[in-house]
Amino acid sequence: MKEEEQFHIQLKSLKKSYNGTKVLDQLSLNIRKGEFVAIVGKSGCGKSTLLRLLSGLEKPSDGQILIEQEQLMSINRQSCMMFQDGRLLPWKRVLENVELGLKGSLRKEAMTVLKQVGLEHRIQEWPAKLSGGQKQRVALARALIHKPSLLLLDEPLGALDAFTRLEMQSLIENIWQKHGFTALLVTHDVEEAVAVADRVILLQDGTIAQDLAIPLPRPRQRDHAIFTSTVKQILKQILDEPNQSVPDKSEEIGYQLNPIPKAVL
Amino acid sequence: MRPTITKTLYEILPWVVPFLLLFIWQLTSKMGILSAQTLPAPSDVLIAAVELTQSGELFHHVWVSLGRAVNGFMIGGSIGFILGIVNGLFRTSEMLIDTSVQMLRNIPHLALIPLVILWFGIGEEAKIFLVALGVLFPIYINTYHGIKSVDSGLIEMGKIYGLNKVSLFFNVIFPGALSSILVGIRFSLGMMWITLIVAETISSTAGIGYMAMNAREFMQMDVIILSILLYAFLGKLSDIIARFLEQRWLKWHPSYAKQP
Repeated sequence: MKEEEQFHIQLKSLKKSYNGTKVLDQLSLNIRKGEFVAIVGKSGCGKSTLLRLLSGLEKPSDGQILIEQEQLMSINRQSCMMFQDGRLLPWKRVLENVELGLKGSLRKEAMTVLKQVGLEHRIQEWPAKLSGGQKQRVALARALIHKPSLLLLDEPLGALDAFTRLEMQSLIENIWQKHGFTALLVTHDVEEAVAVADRVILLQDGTIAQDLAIPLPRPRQRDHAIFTSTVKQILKQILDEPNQSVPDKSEEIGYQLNPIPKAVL
Repeated sequence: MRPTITKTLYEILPWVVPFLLLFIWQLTSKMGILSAQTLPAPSDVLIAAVELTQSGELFHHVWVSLGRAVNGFMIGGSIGFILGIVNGLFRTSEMLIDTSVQMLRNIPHLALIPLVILWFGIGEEAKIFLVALGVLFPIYINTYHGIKSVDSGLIEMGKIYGLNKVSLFFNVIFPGALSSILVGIRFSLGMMWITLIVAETISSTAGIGYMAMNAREFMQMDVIILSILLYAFLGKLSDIIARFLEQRWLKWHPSYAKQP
């Protein structure tokens, strides 16, 4: 197998700007098939933009996106996306939401994926009646039924409480191990990134500031020495960076941002 | 035991004041405090209703009025609905038409009565035209606004999950706009009756408005009151229909769901 062929995604000096403001700048990145990559960074660093480019919702200003050696031109049909707010259709029941966009009723497949996310007993419920975690489970099932080869996760756990988040992290990890798709998780939670990903990429000002492999065995022990030191290392890099992309308003509002003391890190 | 008593009480409570008023009205009329020339007793109105029903007159007038209302509503409603959908979906037609519609909307349609009489005469067309005009704008505005305010995140999601334009409209955009469209329908049903009341007093040979105007000529107070009550009843009826539609089509919505 040629080296190129093991890559699912290849980004070649990708650029994206909105009205002259650069969001992504000369971003080059290769992602292998079946790899779980987490992208971390401050808000405004371009991490969500990267996912939107990969889903085909937006087009790059310059550079190339290759999906399995082919340039991405329109909506990426083999990818599915999970959003922070779930985005279930409130006027469709759980089962109908999962079957959205599929031809005909795929009752059996829908039941299979709903079973995988542990919601097979609530198929006739309205989304409004579900908790935040359950909504994201439905969103995950809706993505899985399409058998995506690439799953894009745009901070899907950002709005959940701490316990539900831990539960969902291991659910996503298990499902990824079972299905073997390539996963790209955007998150602002460094610990979450280190807990689930093979590789953590730190984006700063639209470029890759760090690209770390996480060689820890799964399921990961959060109190493992390498685990904690990796989290610290990434956090240190994020916090040490002089704030360029986001204008610092801390002085205007009479509020001093205290960086976490060095001794802790 | 307790909860059932509270529940029954809550069901009775809204009716206490109307019945009390009705009772006082009946009592004062029969005692001669309230002159029959000012306000006839409820029992007299009831007798008038029974008499007119037996002669078939009541049914005839209600039927004619209802026909005008429904025709006008269908014509104006469909125009408003289609315009709202098209302008909500397509930028070009929005640019072309919306400003003009918003401009026309600000003319009180009842102010057009002299013009409408000159255009259509005093026949059925004038009345139906006025009703259609009154109904058009509330439906247009709420349909247009409903389509415009559909969550763009859901539309984006639909695109990612492979919905084409038609299924995007039927699965995401239309259901998302439906609650606003129903508000428009409810509002325009009210508008429909108000317009009809005024339009029917212009000049007619049938209808509830005619019944009231005719009764005025002969000082039949009970028939006048009966006509007013008929309008109130029909208005309430259309409100119940609108409410029923909301409960049926918006049952996914926590604030419209029927309490179990």
